[in-house]
Order: sequence, then structure tokens, then C-alpha cells
Amino acid sequence: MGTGGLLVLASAIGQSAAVLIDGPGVELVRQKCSLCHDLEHITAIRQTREEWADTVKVMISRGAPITPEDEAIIVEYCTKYYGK
Amino acid sequence: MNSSDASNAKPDQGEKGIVTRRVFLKSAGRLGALLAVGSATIALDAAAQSSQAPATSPAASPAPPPPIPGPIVPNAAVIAEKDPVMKVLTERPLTANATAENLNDAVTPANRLFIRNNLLTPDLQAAGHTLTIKGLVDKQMTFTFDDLQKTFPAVTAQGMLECAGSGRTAFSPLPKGTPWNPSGGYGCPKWTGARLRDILKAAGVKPGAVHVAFFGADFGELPTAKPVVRSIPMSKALEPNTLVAWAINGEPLPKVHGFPLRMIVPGWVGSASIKWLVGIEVLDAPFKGTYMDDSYRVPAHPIAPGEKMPKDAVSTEAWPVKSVITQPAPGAKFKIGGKIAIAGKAWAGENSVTRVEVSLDEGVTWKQATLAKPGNKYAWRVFSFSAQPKRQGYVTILARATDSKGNVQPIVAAWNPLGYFWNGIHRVGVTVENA
Ligand code: HEC
Repeated sequence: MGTGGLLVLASAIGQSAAVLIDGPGVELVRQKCSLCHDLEHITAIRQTREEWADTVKVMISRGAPITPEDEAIIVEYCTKYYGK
Repeated sequence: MNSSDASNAKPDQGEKGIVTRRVFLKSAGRLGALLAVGSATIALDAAAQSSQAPATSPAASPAPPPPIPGPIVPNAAVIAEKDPVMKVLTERPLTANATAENLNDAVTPANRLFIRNNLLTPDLQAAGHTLTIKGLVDKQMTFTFDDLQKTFPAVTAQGMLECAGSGRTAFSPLPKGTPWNPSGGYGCPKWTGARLRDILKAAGVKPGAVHVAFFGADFGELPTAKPVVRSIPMSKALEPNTLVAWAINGEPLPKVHGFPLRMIVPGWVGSASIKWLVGIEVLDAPFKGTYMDDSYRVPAHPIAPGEKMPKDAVSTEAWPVKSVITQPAPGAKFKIGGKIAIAGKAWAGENSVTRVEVSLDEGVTWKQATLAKPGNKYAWRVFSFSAQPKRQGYVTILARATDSKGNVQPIVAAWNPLGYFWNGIHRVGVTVENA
């Protein structure tokens, strides 16, 4: 066990199985929000704009490399397609 | 950062919702600034770039993975060591569990214990592994893996480990987070290790110490991902069952379960039992960090389902009273005149289980189950009940536990935004056929 861990990392990273709804900002969300976890965290839930704004702020404090401009686009996208 | 990379990005898209080149340059620059290593910068620049480029551009192909600080155990290798009954819930981070009917053993086998990683599974070696105790102590100490086992008496105790989000999908509306199924995400193996209090005594705890933080050696794919750190109050740190563990059921810890060293904080949410333990810090206040302040929090007072997290949230600690039916399996078939052997487990965090009742009529009537002898303080309690089905058709079996403080398991657990502490009554449906 554990042999060649680094080599296999590439396959461990891969694209998340979850399919995001297509729309403005989708590429940015797919890229930034799958850096640490599967995209199911997004697709499984429905949140208000305020809640998505809070979520993205928390991800930034968890180390997500997201600029204020990215943040606005991501919140917009999530609210539009995964809003409630 | 490498500006020639950025110049490949498409110029302004001009559309609302699409990033402009100016924004891209700025974000790429910031990424570059965040990262010290050249290759990491390039990898992430490429990632940022592909997020801006139209899907048809060659830049949209997946970015090469950034380098990570050490070797990892790939998910496939982790799963290969597990029993096939384990279901993978998420791949990144890896989470997996067995459902209740596969957790009927009195002592949970290591290959059926749930997996809840926050980051990757580091491939650590026992040789050369060290544990450092620092902070409010008289003397900072570092032990090698071997020294630790030679210096402190080894203690073996069965102890409950359960993810805070265990059972999350039973909540309605569904809270965010790992989709643990209504029954899974817990286990009760036998742990062997040194008492944390013996280690703290050796280092000498200074006055004013109130919390003890545990540091894991795991890391993420992204260099900026926050490390996994959690602290517990001194009273729990000094509890004799709180262990720095190196064995599960008499065997070395599997890599995914924290090899070579992990914390075992039994009866508490699993996040306190930090895996791949490398550091212990004695503090004058709770640790500040994302696994203390953003995750693993519940409202101090009940809130309506769907409401947002109130300001007065508190860190999750001991589990409330809970029970699960591990036998029969859902969908099992029985004959009228025969018997239904019902069995399960009950636990109660810091309290002890005093009673388990079983109902076969949706809670109209309850009958007391037989409790096996209690084990260690934090071991679950095995219960059993023999039912004789009198009519044919579908029967729902319910179990509910009561603890030493008189707390009874609720029908539905108190809703909270992150979906922690599901302890609602477990139900298993079976069919009774004519003999
Ligand atoms: C630096 C790593 C990182 C990045 C990048 C990241 N997240 Fe997370 N996210 C986490 C961690 C850590 C958790 C909590 C642990 C878990 O469940 O895996 C989490 C959990 C979540 C959850 C579940 C709720 C919660 O707070 O536990 C949602 C929703 C979520 N992320 C959305 C996003 C979105 C949207 C993005 C893109 C803007 C994103 N994440 C990017 C680290 C990250």
C-alpha cells in the first residue's frame, strides 16, 4: 500500500462527477470550487444569495484562492442555479 | 508569477458574469503571490487560465496537478483494504461507510470502520514519526513513535467514534455537507494507546491552560487548504479514556485511520479524534481555526428547520443518546409463527445507556430490550429483543434508547444548519409472510 502515491495523485484529482448547470460563471465555479472537494457539495443543496455569500466567504477562510471579483461571479452563479 | 501564461488568456469577454482579462491577470497574480514554489505557481496559473478560457480553447484541458508536500495513499488503495460492504460517499475528500446491518459485530472491525477524511490520506511511516507537545507546558517534548510506546503505559479500551454529520441525510431540509446516509458514520473498535493525561503530566501543564489542540499531518491538493486542527477542553483531555492511539483491535492503525498515531476522544464528534497526529499544543483558549469556527458548530438553542446559523453557535462535543438496529437487515422476510431476532447498539456520549425499547407498531407500544453487560465507559451497549410476528405484511421495527441522565432518543433530531448530531429513532422495515 502507498507505493507510487504521487504518481496516482493525478487520477485522484480528476474532474468531479457532479455536473454543474451550464451558465455564466460555470467554468470559474468548476475550477475554483473543485480544488478541494467534489462539486456535490454545491449541487446537493439550495441556498439563498446571503447563504451562498456566507458559504463562499467560509471557503476563502478555508484557503480557497478566490479574488473579490471571482467571489461575486461565484455567488451570482450559485444563487441563480442553486438558489432557493 | 509567469505573465506570459496569462497573456494566453482570452481578452475581455464583455459579457456580464464572464471574467475580464484585467480580473484574470489580477487573480493570477494573487495566486502567484500565494505560492512560493515555481512549479506550483505554473500549475495554478494554468488552472486559473483554463477557468477563464472558452471550452474550445486548448487551455481548457485539465491543469496538471500542483505538487503536494508528501506521498499519499490513493483512494483505490484505501478502499482495497476495506470490506466490500463499505460504500464510498465522496471521493474528494474520501468518505465511506457501512450501513447499520453491516455493523452488527460487538467490536467494529477496522475494515468496516467509516472513513471521513478532510484532506488527502498521507502515506506516513512509523520510523522517524514524531509527536511534539508544546504550548503551556513546563517543557516542550518530542517523542518518536517508538519512545512514546516505551515511555507510557499502554491502555486498551473500546470507544465510540462517530462523525458529527453521521446520519445527516435523515434531516429535512437536507443540510449542507457530506451526505452520510441515515444510518452509518460510526463504529466502536478497541483502541490501544497512551493516555493523553500521562503525556501531559510528563510535559507539565502550566496554570491557565484550558484547551488542548491536536495537529494532523494530512494536507490537501491545494497548498492553501487549511490544516486539520481541533482543540478540546482540559477536562476531556485529562479523561483517562482519551488516548494517543497506535492500534485498532490489536493491529497497527490502517493508513487511512491515522497511521502511525491518532487521537481517540471517545464519545465525542469524530473531528476531535485527529488522525496522523504530529502535534499537541496546550492553550489558554480554544484553538482558532476553520475546523473550530466554520465547521463542527451547532446553534446553542434550537432553531427552526432551514434557518441560518445563529451568532450564539457552539463547538460540537459529546454525542447525545442514540441507538441503531443492526439486525435484521431492511427488507428481510420472516414467517408468521417464527421469530424475529432484533439486535442493535446504543450509546450516549458522556452518559451511559440505561434502557433500550423496541416497538413493532410505529411507537404505539414499546417493549424493553435486553441489554448486554456494559463494557468500557465509552463502548456502545449491545441490545437484543426477540419478537414474534402475529400478522402478515410489512412491519417497521423501531428502537429508542434512554441514558443515565434520563434523556430519551427523539423521533426527529433537532435541525441545525450543518446537519450534526442526528439521533432520531432508527427504523427498519421487514416483511412477514404466511407460514
Ligand atoms: C481550500 C479548499 C476549498 C475550496 C477551494 C473550496 N472549498 Fe468548499 N469546503 C472546504 C472544506 C474544508 C469543507 C468542509 C469539509 C468538507 O465537508 O469536506 C467545505 C465544504 C463545503 C460545503 C458544505 C458546507 C460546509 O461549509 O461544510 C459547500 C456548500 C462548499 N464547500 C462550497 C464550496 C464552493 C461554492 C466553493 C468555490 C467557491 C468551494 N467550496 C471551494 C474547502 C474548500
